[in-house]
Amino acid sequence: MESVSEAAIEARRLTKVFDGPGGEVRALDNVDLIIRKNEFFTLLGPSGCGKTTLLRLVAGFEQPSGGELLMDGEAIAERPPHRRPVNTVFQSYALFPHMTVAENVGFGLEMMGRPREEIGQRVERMLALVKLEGMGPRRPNQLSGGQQQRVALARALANQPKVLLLDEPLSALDFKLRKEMQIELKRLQSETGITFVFVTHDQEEALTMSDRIAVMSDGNVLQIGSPTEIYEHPTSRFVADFIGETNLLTGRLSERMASSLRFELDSGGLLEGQEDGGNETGARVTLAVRPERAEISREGSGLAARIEQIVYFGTDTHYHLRLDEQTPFVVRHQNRSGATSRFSQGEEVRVTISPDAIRVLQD
Amino acid sequence: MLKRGSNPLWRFPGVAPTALIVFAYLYLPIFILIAYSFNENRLATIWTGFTFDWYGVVLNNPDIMRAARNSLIVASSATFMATLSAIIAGLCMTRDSFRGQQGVNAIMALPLIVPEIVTAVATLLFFVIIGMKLGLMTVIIAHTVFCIPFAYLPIRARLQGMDPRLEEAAADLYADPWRTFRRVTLPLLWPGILSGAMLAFIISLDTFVITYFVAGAGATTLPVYIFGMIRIGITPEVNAVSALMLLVSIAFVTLSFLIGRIQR
Repeated sequence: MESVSEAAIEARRLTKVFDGPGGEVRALDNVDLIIRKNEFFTLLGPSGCGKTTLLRLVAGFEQPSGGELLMDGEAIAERPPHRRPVNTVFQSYALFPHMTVAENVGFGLEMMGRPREEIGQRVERMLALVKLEGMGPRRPNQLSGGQQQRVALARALANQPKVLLLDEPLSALDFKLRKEMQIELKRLQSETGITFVFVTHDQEEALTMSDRIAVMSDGNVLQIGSPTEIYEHPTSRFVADFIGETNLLTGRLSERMASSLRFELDSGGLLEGQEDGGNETGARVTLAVRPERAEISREGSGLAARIEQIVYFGTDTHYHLRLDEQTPFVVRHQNRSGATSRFSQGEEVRVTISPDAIRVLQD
Repeated sequence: MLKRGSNPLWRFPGVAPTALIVFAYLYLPIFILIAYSFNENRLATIWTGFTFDWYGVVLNNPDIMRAARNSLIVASSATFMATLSAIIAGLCMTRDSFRGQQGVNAIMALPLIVPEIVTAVATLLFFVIIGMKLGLMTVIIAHTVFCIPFAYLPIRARLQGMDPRLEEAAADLYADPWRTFRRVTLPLLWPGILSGAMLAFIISLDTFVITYFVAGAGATTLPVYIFGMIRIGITPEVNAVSALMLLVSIAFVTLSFLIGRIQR
């Protein structure tokens, strides 16, 4: 496992500033980041967060305005794209329309000056890898979107790059195909052992595919971690809100007890928690609770709430509650037994949250 | 082809007759010109019988043949140089962004709106000032300058419509800038180059005012020669020359259309 800890790509205070019509735009602001060898690394964030800019800096299509960019410990910021051992799968695929599928896939090898027989064999193997055997003589415009996407993948993988960059490659596909390709990509990554850097704004895609995720916003990396860490332990309000659904509660860290903490909520009521998020007693805090980690019941202890709406999703039911006028709260209940809801709209209920489900956010 | 009913324009009354009148206005004179090139009578306006003779007269007239040769030399040279300049200009204007780009674009298109007579006088003055002897060379230079915007427009349009990711993809796949150009940019640009060159060729073939001003002795082109003939009187011979020029133009357009089809 030693090689896993080695950095394939390292960004140090990497900054990119664009001159826009309305002044400077900081697309990347002092980003520090390490992408390990052989991992499936995802850059996740809303559009305009800088994730694609970071990818384009690694590919060499843009020059950094400041900071360092290392590949295998070597500074590469000055190197033109055609001298970097990375390949890109573009969002629009960018297949060469005047070449056949085989010519597209073999283009990189041809540019590297590999002998013709080798190129032919490798192209065949790549087309088999992405399940497009026999499609070699066709033109890209004779293929479906999903097939084009796989040609783009084969074209990039054919060169056995050290790092494969994927810029929202699945966003143009329909839902079912996207699900298939997610599994396919994951399979290709583990089969080839190539480091994948995957850019997406789809949090579900990020959670299902990645070894590690970097959540980005406004040119900054907010949190880096495994999907479980990111989902279960978001450190900031943005991450908690962007990844999955979250209930946010504001209040005060009111009391420290032997093995737990007590929070006094603005909406009224007390919550027992385990972590203090580095806050002192008496400090104002924002708490995050996942909808599936809360329970509702008719009586007993817990926060008082009223059911505003019940939404049935098949696999589960969402209860939209209100703790008080300002504080909505969602509870997701998995439908294990019968389909009929145990509760009805307008009912007064109690919400219980187990102490280990409460996260204290930094801001 | 548009089907009746699929085009909402057909809802308005009188669309068909209006279209017919416009087409007649555009093409009837040309049809008459071609028809009278087969007229037996020496007077162009009185029809007396059908003959191919005038074409023979044209082809046996050494002055006309010399003018035609000049026209072809000028048009080919001017097309080549204008298209080459237009390709370079197009690449600079679309692959890079710099201060004053809008201004440069406007200047590139300026010859399209400057009255031809102004260009002609200015060009003549320029040649006189630098002391260049008027001849075929001056015509080629003047035509090149005049043709650049015509070649430039389709080439730039093609470049702007090209996905910049394609060039990035080539660079990403280890192609250096020159090979990216040769293997990706140029093949995709080809239809634009072709229509630009074709437009430049036909414009050059046809330009009269500028040629008339800067052509020295022995550098007479076909339009200038035809103008000279007309001053003596319109004969079926003039009609025949014009019809032949039209034929060359049509052949050119057809050829480029077919090449465009094969490319696709």
